[in-house]
Amino acid sequence: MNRETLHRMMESLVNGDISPEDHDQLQHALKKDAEARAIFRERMDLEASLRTWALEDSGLAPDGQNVALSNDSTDQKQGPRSLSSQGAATTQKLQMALIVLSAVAMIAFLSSPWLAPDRPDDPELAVEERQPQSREQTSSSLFVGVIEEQDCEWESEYVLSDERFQTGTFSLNVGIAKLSFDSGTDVVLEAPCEFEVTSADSARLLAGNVFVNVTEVSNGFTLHTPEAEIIDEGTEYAVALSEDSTEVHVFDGSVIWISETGGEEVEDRIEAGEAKLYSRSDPTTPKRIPFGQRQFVRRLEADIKARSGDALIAYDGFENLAGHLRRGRSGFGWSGGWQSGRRGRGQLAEVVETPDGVVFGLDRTDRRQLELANGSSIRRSFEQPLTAALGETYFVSMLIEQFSTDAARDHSLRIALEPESAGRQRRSRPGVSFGITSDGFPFINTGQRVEKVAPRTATGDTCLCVIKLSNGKSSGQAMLRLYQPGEAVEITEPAVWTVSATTEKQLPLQSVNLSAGSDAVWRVDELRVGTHWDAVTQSINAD
Amino acid sequence: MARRVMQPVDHPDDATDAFVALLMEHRHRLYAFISKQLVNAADVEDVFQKTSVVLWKKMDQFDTDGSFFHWACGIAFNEVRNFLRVQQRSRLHFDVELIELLSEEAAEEGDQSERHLTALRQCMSRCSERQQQILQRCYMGTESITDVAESLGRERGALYKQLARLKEKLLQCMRLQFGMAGSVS
Repeated sequence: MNRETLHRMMESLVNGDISPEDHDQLQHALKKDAEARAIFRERMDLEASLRTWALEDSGLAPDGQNVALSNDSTDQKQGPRSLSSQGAATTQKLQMALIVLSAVAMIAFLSSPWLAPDRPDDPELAVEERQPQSREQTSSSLFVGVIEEQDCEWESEYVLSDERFQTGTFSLNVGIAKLSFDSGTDVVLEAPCEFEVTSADSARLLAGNVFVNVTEVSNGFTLHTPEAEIIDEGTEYAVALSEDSTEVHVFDGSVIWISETGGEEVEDRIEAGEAKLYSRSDPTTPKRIPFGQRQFVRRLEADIKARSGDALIAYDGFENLAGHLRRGRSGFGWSGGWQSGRRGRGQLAEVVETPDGVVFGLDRTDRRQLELANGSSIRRSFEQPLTAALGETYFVSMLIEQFSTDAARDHSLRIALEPESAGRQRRSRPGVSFGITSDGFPFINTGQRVEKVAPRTATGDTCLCVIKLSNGKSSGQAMLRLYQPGEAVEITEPAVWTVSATTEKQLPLQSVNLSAGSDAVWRVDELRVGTHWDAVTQSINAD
Repeated sequence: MARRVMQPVDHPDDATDAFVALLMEHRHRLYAFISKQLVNAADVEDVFQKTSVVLWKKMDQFDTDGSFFHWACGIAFNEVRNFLRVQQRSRLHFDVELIELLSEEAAEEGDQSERHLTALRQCMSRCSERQQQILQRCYMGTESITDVAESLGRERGALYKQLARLKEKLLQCMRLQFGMAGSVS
């Protein structure tokens, strides 16, 4: 029996809902496997410890006065909390013993560290006491969680101790900040945002957008807005508070919106997949709005992953960044963040706002993209190298837009999938690269020759570029399909590609490299790497 | 080691005090010993209570040079077997062969059970106050899981899931506290 099954069956056994078949199987495994028995006994030690701890912490003595007293071990049917008909003397002695037992237990309990007079009421306080005290810390403030920042600029300094944040107001001007409350709730703030942490499990949104993930280990989280209280029911939701209205989008579970009017509380439930807008002048009258109309950073990547499944190996929408590129931040499927593709510390790239509007069915309003300029070259490694077995195929897609105009200079864009080799080996075997020449023609460079074809891209046009690499028995195939603005994207792999070439047999691929010509300005967005056409184009088609 | 004298009939007050002290000292490890054979909390509680009574009655037979825990384990094991004989059809229980195997091993783990309890107390500081409250309500024995779930406005299954995650978190912490990380998993 594998360990996962063992743990599952033990859990069912403890919960009392194990099936007879599983019980037999568990019993058999425990008889045969000493290690399984050790795991089982450890687990039962935990159960026993929880029972003892619960009694200690409740103020009740373990096995207190209401214990069943019986000298007949077969007498349980008489009732677990009744006295059996023993001789009066014996009963009296037993009662005395058990009363004393209770008293002793109470003494032990009262003298335990749990009830020491200086024990804080809140376990977080105990943690706080071990933290170095901040100079700004006041006696009434608590450190209630861990903060993770992504290129943040704050309106004013906030008190932090060892990455732990305390109650108080956070005014985020730029960037993304994730507050992981000790109580099990994560809140992502998107700048500009003003947010007040009021306790370990509650907060107040004063302005801006937040995404709230009340995890399974949380006991709940209450988010206040100026006009209402939002109570979760095991959920993920997002709130956008503007001057005129408050939007609530619920992704999982449900939330209850409680507002007050004329001294009376009015409740409204919002279920998963619903979004509602509440006017701030009349917060008791909700208006349904399209779900997902507003994009919340934290949801974007999760949605893309869910829609594409395992076929999407890596993704970067350049969303969790603001201003400039940093290591290990945005996307998924990568090992670390973007690094300079040149020797030494080269220039990285900027992250800039996208213009509002829909591109290839994708609404990029309030989104961000990468700006690669003036000889920048950046590289990011895959979490796992992409294997190069016979028949293995990989697709890469991205939105690209040329921003520069002077065609007489180097305005090229180069996209390279780099093999799993380092240093000199990488340079001697650079792999296949794709891109757009200075004069706007799509190209594939196989290492031996360059294939270049029409049509050319125009400055200011956002195009969709899809690349395919596949491995045959002795050689490989490289293809590039460039979609011009307004062109429909096929829902299956196209029969005709813009440019294609035969390559050497591909090696396992380790990283992707994006390079702009020395005088170029390119904008790149929605970088996807997958094993199927769908995985790299699906969300674009689906919208 | 000082010899402790038990005379429950002739010296009821002293004997009671001594018995209570011994039982208190060994209460948790004895409870854990029974847990490892019966699992179900209500069953464990019943057998522990019966065992306490039998221990009291047989206290004059205890060789005070010996180990109270091991002596108590012998009596508890008999009580487990008696219990299973009566209760065998009401709930799924392990058979005698496995119970014997588990009891032999559990009898050698009295100190370990105490250390687990100490580790748990330390690890509880990693749970929020509300998480501790839920654990306490679920393990106090005064409310069923269904009752607790209902009062929290949650599904029973969701509460079980939360408990499972909390226990996994605690177990990991306890292993670290206990210095046994990696020994079992």
